[in-house]
Amino acid sequence: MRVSSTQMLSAMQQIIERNYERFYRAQQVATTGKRIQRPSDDPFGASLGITLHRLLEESEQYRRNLTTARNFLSITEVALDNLNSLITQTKSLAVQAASDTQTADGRLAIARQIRQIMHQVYSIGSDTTYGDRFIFGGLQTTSPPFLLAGDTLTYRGDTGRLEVEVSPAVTMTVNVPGHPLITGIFDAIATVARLVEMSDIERLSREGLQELQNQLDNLLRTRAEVGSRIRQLEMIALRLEKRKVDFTELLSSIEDADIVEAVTNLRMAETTYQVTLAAMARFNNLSLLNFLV
Amino acid sequence: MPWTFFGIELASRALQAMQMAMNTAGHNLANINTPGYSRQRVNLAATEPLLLEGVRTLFVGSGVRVDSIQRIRDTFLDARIAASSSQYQQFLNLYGRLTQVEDVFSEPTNAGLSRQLVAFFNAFHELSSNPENVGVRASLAQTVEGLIRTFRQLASRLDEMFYELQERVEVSASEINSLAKSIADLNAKIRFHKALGAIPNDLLDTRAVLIEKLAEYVEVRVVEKPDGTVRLTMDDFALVDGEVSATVPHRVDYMNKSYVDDISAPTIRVRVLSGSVRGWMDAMQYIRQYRQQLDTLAREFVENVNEIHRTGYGLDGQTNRNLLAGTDATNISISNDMLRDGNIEINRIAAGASPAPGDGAKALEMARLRQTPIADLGMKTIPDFYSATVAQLGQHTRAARSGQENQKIILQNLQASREAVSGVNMDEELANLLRYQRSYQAAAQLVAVMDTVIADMLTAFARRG
Repeated sequence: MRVSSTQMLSAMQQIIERNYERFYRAQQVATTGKRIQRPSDDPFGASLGITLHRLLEESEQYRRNLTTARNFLSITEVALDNLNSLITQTKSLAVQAASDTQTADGRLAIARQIRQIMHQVYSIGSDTTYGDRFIFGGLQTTSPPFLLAGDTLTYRGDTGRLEVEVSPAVTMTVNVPGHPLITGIFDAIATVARLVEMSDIERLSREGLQELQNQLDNLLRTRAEVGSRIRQLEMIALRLEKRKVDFTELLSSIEDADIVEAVTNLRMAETTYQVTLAAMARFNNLSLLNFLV
Repeated sequence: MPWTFFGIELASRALQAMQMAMNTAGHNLANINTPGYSRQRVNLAATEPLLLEGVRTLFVGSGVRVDSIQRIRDTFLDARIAASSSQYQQFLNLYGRLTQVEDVFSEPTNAGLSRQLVAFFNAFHELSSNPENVGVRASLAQTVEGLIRTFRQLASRLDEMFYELQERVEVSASEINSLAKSIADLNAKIRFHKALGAIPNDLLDTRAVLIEKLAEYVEVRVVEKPDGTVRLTMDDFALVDGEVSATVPHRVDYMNKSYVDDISAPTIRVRVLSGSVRGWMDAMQYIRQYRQQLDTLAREFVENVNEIHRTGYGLDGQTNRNLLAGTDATNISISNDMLRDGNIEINRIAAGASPAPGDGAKALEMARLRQTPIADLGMKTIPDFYSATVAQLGQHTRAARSGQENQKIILQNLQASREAVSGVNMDEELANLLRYQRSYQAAAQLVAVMDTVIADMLTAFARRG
């Protein structure tokens, strides 16, 4: 084959350009660690990558929602525990008051203690917040849910359920409305207080204590329910974490370059480029002119 | 014996021929880097022999002459190179533009629309579990504004690219016309010289270069005629015929890949089969397509978001308000329902299905919109519709890239074949130069010898006289 001088040069030039581009691409992959730099590098991979990024960020949002739900429920749990001990305390005070040996003054003192407990029940119901959200007001989270006037506790919240989506298509109710739970407890304790004040031992031992027991049972059911929700959240959190790890791995297998391969490719591209340049330099020295005197 | 000075004349003819041969080698060497130059070769031939009639009839050689100076060119290759170059330019330019479109979409990076969409839905998800939180509402408002900005930027950058391309294609029409005019002029000159019996090698080369340049813009069919002129056609439009060139109209009908004189009612339609102009037209069509998909996405996004938002309640207890306004990717904006003094009033963002401040049901419904297939998006969800568009762009770009790579190899091979025939090899020309130089020296020597012979003869006659 006849080869012209420009052909030799332009072939060299083309080879240099091609090898330089290969070198550049290899370098880009090796330095960013990303196999897909733009959609055309792998159209399906890129679109799958977009979806996986979305799913990952959604998982992150689910995790944040889950944290909110868990905190909400934990605060509720603590408040319910406190209510539990307040009822138990009232119960033992009521038993003391119902004793035949108790004096009228003693009963009044006990009644005062029970009234303090009533107030504590009210403040648990009214003041417990998560951040600045009142947790016992149903959906009325921005104002204190209870109003206390004398012995009367008025509920200003509603019975709405706060639903939080904690994983795809799984929502969880994170609140316990203050009514009827806390109003029930308050009324039971108020009744006991009045019976103690009136020294109505008969009704105190029968109705009063029975009502307290009913409230305790009721509360126990609610606490069990809250406790089980918290445990469910722990399970969901584990699943979310697993999901996140899976997605991250999948995403990495699609987007990330195999580092060993990337570095090897870079080396190869670099060597090829050097060889091309060396060949070019040698070729340039060759001419018949060098041999003509 | 021929006449006295026959030998000197023979030598002088040889001197002339060798000088011309050396000039041609020099011409070749001088044009070693001239694009489109075809090497020229001197064809030498023996001159008519002299017939001597004596005892025996003899033919005596009378020396050398230059028969012709031939341009070494394979015109069949020229046609194939022109066609291949059109194909290559089409893919090269399409690929170049689509790469820019990829840059505009900037996927997969954090700057792309996909992340903004995710952020939008996540913000509502966050709101669903914290409906009364002012901070969450404020950051949601920013996310919505960011999303709108991204939609608008994408649309306007696609538009800029589209109009820039349109202008490029329009300008190309006049470049094509001026090339056609030059080729027609060259046709005239070539026909003139050819009629006189001379072959104007360098004019042929110049015309071939112009045709190739034209072929980079648009695909042309080249037919060479016996009178030396070429006829060029674009599809069925006669661009150059002899000394006459036609004018390609400059309006762009990119959907039908044509130049027309009037978009709505064309009387002249020149279809562009390949070449860079075709690549730009293809790019225009793709960009328009992506732009329309973006508009559809924006429209459906606005409608579906509003449908949910209208049924929800803000923290101020009001309902039936649109969050967004607009019908496409350029006019998408925050609805006036939400604005106070030009800013989003965050209490108006609807999170609840009731006026209760802790109600996040509507926000949750909004977050779930991301998983809802939408009829007008071909039963795709909003994020999927978008990522399908990106995948489409990736495929188009990839196809253009591989087309470009394949055509480049074909073109380079053809160019190499032509160079093998027509290209100048420096060593070869230097060797020729040496060869002709030696011959010239020999012929000069011949003159000297003849001179001596004649001198001797004259001396001999002088002595006798």
